[in-house]
Amino acid sequence: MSSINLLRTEGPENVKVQKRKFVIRLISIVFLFFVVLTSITLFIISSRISPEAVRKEQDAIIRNLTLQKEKQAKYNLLIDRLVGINQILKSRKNYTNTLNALLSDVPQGVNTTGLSVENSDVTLTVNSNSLLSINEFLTKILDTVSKKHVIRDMTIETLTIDRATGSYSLSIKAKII
Amino acid sequence: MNKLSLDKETLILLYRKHKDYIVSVAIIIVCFILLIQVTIPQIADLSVRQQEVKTERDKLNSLSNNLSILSSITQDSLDQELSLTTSALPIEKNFTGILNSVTISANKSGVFLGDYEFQVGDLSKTTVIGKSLPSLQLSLSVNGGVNGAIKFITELYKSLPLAEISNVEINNSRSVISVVFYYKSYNGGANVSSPLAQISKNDSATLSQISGWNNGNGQVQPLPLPAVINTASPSATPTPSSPF
Repeated sequence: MSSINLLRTEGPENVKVQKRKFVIRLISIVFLFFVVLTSITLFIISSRISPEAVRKEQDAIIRNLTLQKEKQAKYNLLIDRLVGINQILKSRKNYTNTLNALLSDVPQGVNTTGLSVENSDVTLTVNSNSLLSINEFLTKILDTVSKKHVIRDMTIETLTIDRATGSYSLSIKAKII
Repeated sequence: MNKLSLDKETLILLYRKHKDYIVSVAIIIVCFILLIQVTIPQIADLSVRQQEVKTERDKLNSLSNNLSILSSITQDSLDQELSLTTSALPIEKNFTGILNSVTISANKSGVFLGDYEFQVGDLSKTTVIGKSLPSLQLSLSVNGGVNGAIKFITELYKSLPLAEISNVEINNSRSVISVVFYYKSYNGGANVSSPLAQISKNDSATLSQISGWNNGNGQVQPLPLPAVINTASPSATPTPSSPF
């Protein structure tokens, strides 16, 4: 009596096919899980970083700020004024120190008869009956120029004598630093 | 000749034969389409949302900062500082403040004021000298000698509104001094969400410096605030406008 084998023999070709099916099935399942998990993760992250919550906080603060609108407008004006004031204080030329420094050099016996400041140019006119006093004044002012650095480019404009009164007049010009 | 026919039976036969492959491949194709059409755009959208949230957070921080600045300053000190700064740098030409400043400086320096002349210029235009801020030039005649004139200039530099000497001509006892008084208009265009600048140490130093100057302690009533700040009711008496 011949026997019949009911079990299918696993040939190498069949094993290869089964393996291919398994690999494709595995790829599809992994891919499916990847897409599903990525989508869920992105959805959760996206819902968590919604700007709506931040906007609600903003609205609450804006409501509070609106109640202080007048105060805010005043504060803005204050800041605007301070910017302008600082700008002026920083850049405005103050001639008083220079003029005081120059006048402090005028010795006794020498009178200041004229002083003018225009576009950072200062002109000082003095007169005296003595040339020695004039000389003392010039020496002092040259010393001031080198020490205090308040003026530069100093030139003697005129040195005249009034024969009627016998007084000497000296005019110097310099640039204010 | 073989005729290729895809009737129902053939399709069922083909399906049964390749069933295992078809389902897997279909899943892969669908997932791929989902990845391209949904997941990747979602990632791009996420970065846009992140940027949006960052922008909104910055705005929120700015608003919180505004609120904290406003809460930290009292109404009284704000009014006082505003009055001081508008005296120093008025919103428009403040003739009363200027004349007050000149008078106080003359009294303190012991000189006598002679003629004075406002060089208002073209009223339809704003005069801008040097520092890109509008200004009003005043030519003053002062009797008091060289020292008196210099004292007067020193006092003027410590007076409000802020002034700058543009020209000085001193001859014996008579001096002609050209002074520039600054002012600065204000448009008040900021809204509640505009970020507020904090008062810096330098600003505080400036405030304390000018508060000790002539006219700095409320001797001169500052000009009325611009309309954007005035909250007077419509029935209130209107403030007379400047003739200039």
